Amino acid sequence: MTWARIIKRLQQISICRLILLSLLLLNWAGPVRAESLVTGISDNTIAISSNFTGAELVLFGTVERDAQTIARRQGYDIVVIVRGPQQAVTVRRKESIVGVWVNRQSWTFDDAYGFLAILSNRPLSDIASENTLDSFAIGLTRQDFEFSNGEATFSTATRLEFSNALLRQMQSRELYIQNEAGVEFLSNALFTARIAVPAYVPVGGFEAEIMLFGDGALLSRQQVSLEVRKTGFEQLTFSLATQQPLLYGILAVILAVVSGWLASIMFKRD
Amino acid sequence: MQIYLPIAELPVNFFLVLFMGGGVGFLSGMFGVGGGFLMTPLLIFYGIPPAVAVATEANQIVASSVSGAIVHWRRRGVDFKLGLVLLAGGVFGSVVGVWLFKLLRSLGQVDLIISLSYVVFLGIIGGLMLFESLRLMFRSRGGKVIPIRRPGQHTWIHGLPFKMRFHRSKLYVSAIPIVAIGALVGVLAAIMGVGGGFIMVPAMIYLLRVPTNVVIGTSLFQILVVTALVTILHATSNQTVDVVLALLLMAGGVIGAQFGARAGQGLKAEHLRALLAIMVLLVCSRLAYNLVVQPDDLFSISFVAEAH
Repeated sequence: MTWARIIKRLQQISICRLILLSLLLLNWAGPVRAESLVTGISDNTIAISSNFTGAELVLFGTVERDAQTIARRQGYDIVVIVRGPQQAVTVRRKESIVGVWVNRQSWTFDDAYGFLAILSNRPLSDIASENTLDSFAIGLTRQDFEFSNGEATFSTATRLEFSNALLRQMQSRELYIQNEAGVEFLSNALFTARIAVPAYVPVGGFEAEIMLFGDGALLSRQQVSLEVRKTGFEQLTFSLATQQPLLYGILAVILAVVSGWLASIMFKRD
Repeated sequence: MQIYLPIAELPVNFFLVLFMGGGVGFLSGMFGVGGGFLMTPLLIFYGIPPAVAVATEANQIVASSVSGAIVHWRRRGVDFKLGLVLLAGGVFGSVVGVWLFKLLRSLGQVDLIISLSYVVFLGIIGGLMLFESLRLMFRSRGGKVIPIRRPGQHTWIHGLPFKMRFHRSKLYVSAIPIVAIGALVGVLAAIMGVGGGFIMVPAMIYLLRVPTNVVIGTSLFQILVVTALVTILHATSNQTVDVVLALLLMAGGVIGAQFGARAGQGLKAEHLRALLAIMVLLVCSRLAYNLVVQPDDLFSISFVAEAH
């Protein structure tokens, strides 16, 4: 870890402390009904610049309760879900044709999340019942992606195989994460969650949802939105390439011609 | 040191990519070849999406062929008339190639076709080169005089219609094979991210009987224009040209080529050719291995490009 990153981390932590402190102070402001959540996030934007190799998001919050709040036998549980922009993803299966592995069957998921992190303070199965987890789509295997093609022709088993392949591939790229020890309680009410955002993260609008569970029931939920975007030169290059592709192509050629020509001057041998 | 590529959308090791550009540049300077056929597979092995590797390599070849084209143009080693006829085919071929590339990409078969084309072309070219140079080496060792092909000999090529006269090349030959060679090279440039010199130079020498003093210059002229066109076409239809990656490769390639050219001067032509052939065959077999060995995961995913 470089010094710059250590300093940045220290700054992050001190900012978190500051916000946590103000959150605690907020506790005294006005009456609240049962439990509610006050949450914050370390960054509302993740900027992709030329030295981007991934980022770490820190989510934090506190469980607010008033005098009337009944005690929870099992204490509180927190589930954090971060969802990236939805996009169409095609999953293909290879088959061997005369000795060569060729993509054959394919299946397109219309609205797969480009990023999905599900973090909790303990195993999901301990936090709530299967039904509850299903109804809130908590868990990588509990996502209900829509399919655009072949739904009628593929059997349930094949469908499962393709959705599992999607999960597996996204997990290997660290774009899908399920961490059942990813939320840490600092006290009875204070918690933090760290989410590693990999370098391959798609750009666009993200949404973080923080859910408070108590005795297997959802007590409260909060949403924070954030954005991943390219900045500076990366943004300029990308938008030029996508919005003015002809100009971008011509510029790329001019760049190549000029650098080739410069090289021939620099290394002139005769 | 990592640097983020804005179009490939992943970080790469700055020095490693520079080194790769330098290494391939060294080899291309040493053997006098473009190097695209080595660079594109290397980029793919490194993890760059094949579509980005092909389009970006086309962009780099523009840079690496400029200096050579200038040198040959100064020496009057470019037959512009022949070059323009080749180019007529090249323009057609690259338009068809980029269209085909886009179609294959939507079908999910582009990676397979890129690899297959490499295996086929590298296999044939590498095999022929190795055979030829080994034959020359054994003959020259035996002290026999190697017969030189005479330009006056006639083949089936000379029976074709639409004959044209090319003064600088001292040729009177049908335009059909020239346009066909140009078109083939255009398609290869678009699909494989190569200049196509490895096909064009032998074709011009053995099929068209173009004199050797204009072969290199004229093919460089054709490669320069075709790869420039392919770059623009890929940028507009596939948006896969990564200028940051291209710049890194250009910088490495230019420096490497200078050292390579010097290193190559001390070697015999047939030894050089045998070395190059072995390298070509190595890359070919690595790609072939990837095609036939069962992948760890039979499933793969690709993000469907949104319409911008």
